[in-house]
Amino acid sequence: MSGYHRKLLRVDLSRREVRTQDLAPELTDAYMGGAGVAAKLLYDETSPDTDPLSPENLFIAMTGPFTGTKVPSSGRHHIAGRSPQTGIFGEANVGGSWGVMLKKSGYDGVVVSGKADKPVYLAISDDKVEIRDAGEIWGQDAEESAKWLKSKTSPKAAAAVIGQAGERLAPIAGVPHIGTLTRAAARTGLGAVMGSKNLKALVAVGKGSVPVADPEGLEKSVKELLKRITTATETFGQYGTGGGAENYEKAGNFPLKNWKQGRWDGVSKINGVVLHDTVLTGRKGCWRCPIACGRHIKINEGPYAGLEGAGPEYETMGTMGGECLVDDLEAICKANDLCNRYGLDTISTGATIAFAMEAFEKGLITTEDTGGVELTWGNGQALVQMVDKMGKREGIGELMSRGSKAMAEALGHNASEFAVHVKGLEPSAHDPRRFFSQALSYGTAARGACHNASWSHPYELALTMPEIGITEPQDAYQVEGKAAFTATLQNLMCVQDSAVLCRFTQIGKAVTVNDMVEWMSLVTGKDWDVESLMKVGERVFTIKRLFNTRLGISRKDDFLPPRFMTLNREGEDLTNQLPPMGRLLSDYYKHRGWSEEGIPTPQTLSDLGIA
Amino acid sequence: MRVELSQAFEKMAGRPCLEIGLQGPTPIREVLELLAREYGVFTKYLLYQDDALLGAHLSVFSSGKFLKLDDPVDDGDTLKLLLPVTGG
Repeated sequence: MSGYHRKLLRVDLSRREVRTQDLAPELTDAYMGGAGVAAKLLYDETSPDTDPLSPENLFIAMTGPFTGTKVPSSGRHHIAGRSPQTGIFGEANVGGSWGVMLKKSGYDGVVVSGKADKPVYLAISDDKVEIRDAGEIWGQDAEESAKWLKSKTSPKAAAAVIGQAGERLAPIAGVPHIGTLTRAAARTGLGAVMGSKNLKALVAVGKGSVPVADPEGLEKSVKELLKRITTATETFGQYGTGGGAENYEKAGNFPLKNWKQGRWDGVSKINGVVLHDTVLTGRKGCWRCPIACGRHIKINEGPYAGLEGAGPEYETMGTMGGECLVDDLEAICKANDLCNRYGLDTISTGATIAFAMEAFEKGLITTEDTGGVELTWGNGQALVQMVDKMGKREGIGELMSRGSKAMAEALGHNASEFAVHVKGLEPSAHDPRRFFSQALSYGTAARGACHNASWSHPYELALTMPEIGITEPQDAYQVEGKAAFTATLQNLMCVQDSAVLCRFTQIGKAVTVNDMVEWMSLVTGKDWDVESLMKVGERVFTIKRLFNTRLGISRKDDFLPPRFMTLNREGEDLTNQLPPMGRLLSDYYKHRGWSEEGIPTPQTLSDLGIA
Repeated sequence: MRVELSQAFEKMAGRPCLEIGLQGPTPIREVLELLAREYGVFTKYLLYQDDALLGAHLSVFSSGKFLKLDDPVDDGDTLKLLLPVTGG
């Protein structure tokens, strides 16, 4: 079948062995690629006894059938492993050019096991794959390391490379991907999995092509769609992901003061429009992406003068800005840059600093703990100092680099009451008290509090997708039908992460499910329809849940933290409400064919063809 | 009716808010057409016949609610025109 090379790269670092394995059609028929195949491999090849930081854990990077083809906004791939941050299923999806370079090298994915006896990197260049010494860059940040790696391979190469945080096994360490631009597969601590294997980087550069069943048909279809995407995302591309942060603050979706505060004027100083008008020097797009939402910034004056690189995204503005009440955009840019260099997840980092600020306010930590830093709300300098400590795992930064759940457990007292996370993962910058689908998705997403698992709040605002039953945007506070609505969108996002395609192509309904069906058929040469596509999505979502149920995850873990369950936000024009999680979860389990404990039933697994 | 503008629109219009007169309850679709006629500077953000496409360029917000093209507003209401966002 086209769309795949049918080749997986297997790397055993303990034996310093590289081999290729067939990627079976049965596997891609059932799980497509990307997130789906990665989840299935992780489920099959690890056990509940697999320690996340042990050689037995896997680091998996998978492309999908769209990766490397002419499908727009498909320059993405998926990484997975058991998470050192949460202890459960870990995954992250990332753009840039690394996935494309891997695919052009002739591989669909890489599965890394074992542990090297000294720091190494994997160099993939077309058919040539080598495990090389990385001693010279061990201890260097991701950006500097990427420069060195390109000098040793090719200027066109893309590097999935960890910084010092990953090397030092920080549970919230992500994996920066540096090619034509910097993007991060940040969530769930998979940078520490690489660090535990002494794997500094995976570098890919390739010149080959990806087999497509009907290249002319795909080109024609893409040409028509490109106009739609370009029109629909013009505003989004201009101001980036943070362009409408003001909008979300007014609506009660933007997180403030560790999710406690109602309204905040400071958002007018830190959003994408201000960034556009001050420090932005250019837009950057992932491979073959007409949206180009990536920001390139430069700061010329002040304490952070000289900073140049990738600018902060909306989620970073939300966690480092709103959650910490920091209205200093340049301090946020600096903290973001440090995260990119150390290889830290900006969401978990910002959220944990906000948690620490509240702990400081409550007297659970003092300047003695922080090394003299006044960790007060709105203190931009303290934000930057804390990121630095977390990246180095220095002083209190060691504890903070484990995330807010672990930090709360260490602090004791009532700290767990204001540690905002689900299953150990801090939420992104979308308030579940404003969008109930967000509440349900935070509760049930395999990796913890993840908005991308359903990407559903735009469907509660303006979007529709009639071919999967969403004929009208659903009221954000509607309880009836919310379970089916959320589950359907979770399944669709699993398809997108398996194909692999960027969420933002949905903006303005530019790309529909019917378009995805057409592209899948044109790329693979197999007849797809909406039903078969969505069935794959459901299967992928379920295998991730199954990974977690094997670890003891059930209904007890699907509730939201106390702050979302009992403390509502108040302020002018806010309509936020406490999500009725009991009812929502009950409906959700029923809709998915799970038991009342939240576990997929044997019948459901049989229907999905999951043994 | 008072129409408050977010930063990007304020810059385009050269003022933080606009005033328009309505003759009774009027759907958002018509309000946006009126605004486009009177203040053409940000027309490209206003004139979409589909909620999904409009939502990609503009959020119309009033009294805690996001409004759709067919939702009516009246003279006493305050509208906020904001850039949308979808997170990142």
